[in-house]
Amino acid sequence: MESQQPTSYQAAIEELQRIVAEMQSENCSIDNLSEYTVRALELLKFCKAKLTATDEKLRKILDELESQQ
Amino acid sequence: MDNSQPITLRQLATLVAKQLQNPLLQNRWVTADLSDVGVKGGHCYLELIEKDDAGATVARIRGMIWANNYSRISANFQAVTGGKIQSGIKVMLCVSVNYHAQYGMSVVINDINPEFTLGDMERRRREILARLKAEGVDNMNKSLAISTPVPQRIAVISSDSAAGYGDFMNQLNNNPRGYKFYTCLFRATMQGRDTSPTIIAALMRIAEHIDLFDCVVIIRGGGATGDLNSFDDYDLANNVAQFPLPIITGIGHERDNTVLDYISWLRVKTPTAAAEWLIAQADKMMNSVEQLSKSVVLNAREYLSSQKEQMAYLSTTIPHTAQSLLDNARATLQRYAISIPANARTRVSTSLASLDHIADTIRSATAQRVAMARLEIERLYSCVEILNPRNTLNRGYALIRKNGKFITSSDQLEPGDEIVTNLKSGTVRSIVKQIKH
Repeated sequence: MESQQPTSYQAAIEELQRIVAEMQSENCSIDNLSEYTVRALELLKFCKAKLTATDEKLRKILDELESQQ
Repeated sequence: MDNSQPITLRQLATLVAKQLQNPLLQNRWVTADLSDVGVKGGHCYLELIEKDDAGATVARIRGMIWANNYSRISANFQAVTGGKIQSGIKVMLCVSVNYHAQYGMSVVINDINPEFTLGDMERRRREILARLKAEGVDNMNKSLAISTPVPQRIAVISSDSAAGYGDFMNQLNNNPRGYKFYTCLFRATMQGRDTSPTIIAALMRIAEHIDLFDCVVIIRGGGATGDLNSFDDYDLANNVAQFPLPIITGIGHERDNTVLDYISWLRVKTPTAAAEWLIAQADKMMNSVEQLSKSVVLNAREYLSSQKEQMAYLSTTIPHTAQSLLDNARATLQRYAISIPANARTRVSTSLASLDHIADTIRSATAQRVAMARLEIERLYSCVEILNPRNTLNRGYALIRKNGKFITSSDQLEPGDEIVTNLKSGTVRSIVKQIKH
């Protein structure tokens, strides 16, 4: 399982879907349940942050671009 | 009238004006392009022109719509076409030719048929679309794949002073769930003849920073209605069609589509609707994130509780199972404890019985054999008895021996031989006197 930051929502969402499917499958063992859950919550946090947290760097670049016109 | 006498200019003008009273020149429906449209004191002044295929003006007449007609005509025109009476459009008008001694010839416009203009606008749109299609570019923007399910980085093409832009920004930035959007305004003129070149210029600027954006939104800054015609422009449409980022248009009228609406990636009716669409994408994503979040927690819980259940089952089952295994073993042992001696006894008595049987058999076989032997002996004995020479002697026969040997023929004897004769009782010794063979 990947443990670094996902590169995009799409990647995060896809990984999440994989994890959920894995958790629902017969193969899931109690040994990796906590690993799955921790990773899933990490990905969910990432997705929510992407939607609602401000990317100051991007904000600044765009403000500059707008004011140049 | 005497044509040879000169007349004054005014008289000539009056004559011309009189000639123009011809019914063929009154209330006549005419098609023309409009140019230099302007309103002054409630009256509308304009130029009617006709161009040839090369675009050169081949006819031009001044026209006016008097104020008493203008408000009615222009309201009707706007209601049908969604646009204003303005330069650059094709119109069908009902005119009366008029000549004024001071101002020359003009036409007074009594009515305009807006359906004609509508048809012409539609024809123009169709022509542009057909050309884009022939060039194979009409679906290029439409078929782009957006790089992210939630476009948050948005290049906005609009005019910053416009209400529409303000509506868009308000809607976007005050979304109830607090999604962050990053906009950058690229200014353009959103009506009149500058529309196409300024929007194209804005697209060029965006193209220079294409990596900063997920999509482009073109929203019309103006009021509810206006110069939609300027969006029906081949160059603009061509640029939009081939632009490498998805373009969302919110420029249309409720009822009318511009060419851009046909070729853009997504068409919405108003700037507000464009913002709503963007927010809806974020909502969709947020909902799916929340759904997944619930699913993760639910799955983990379910898994744990099923594990717990299994543990509970095992913890009650294992002692129970052990006990029953012990019970079974004990019962088996018990069965052996009973059955082994019983089997042994049976086995011993069976063996004894068979020994008895064998003994009996031996006994009776022995007896039988002895009896048979006895009979045999008796039979032999009687045989022997029959052969006993004593019995023969008893019957009067005699045994003759010479030198101990039995004599059975006269050949064995010579006269003078001594022979011994055994009788039933007694023995006689004799000398042979004579032999007869």
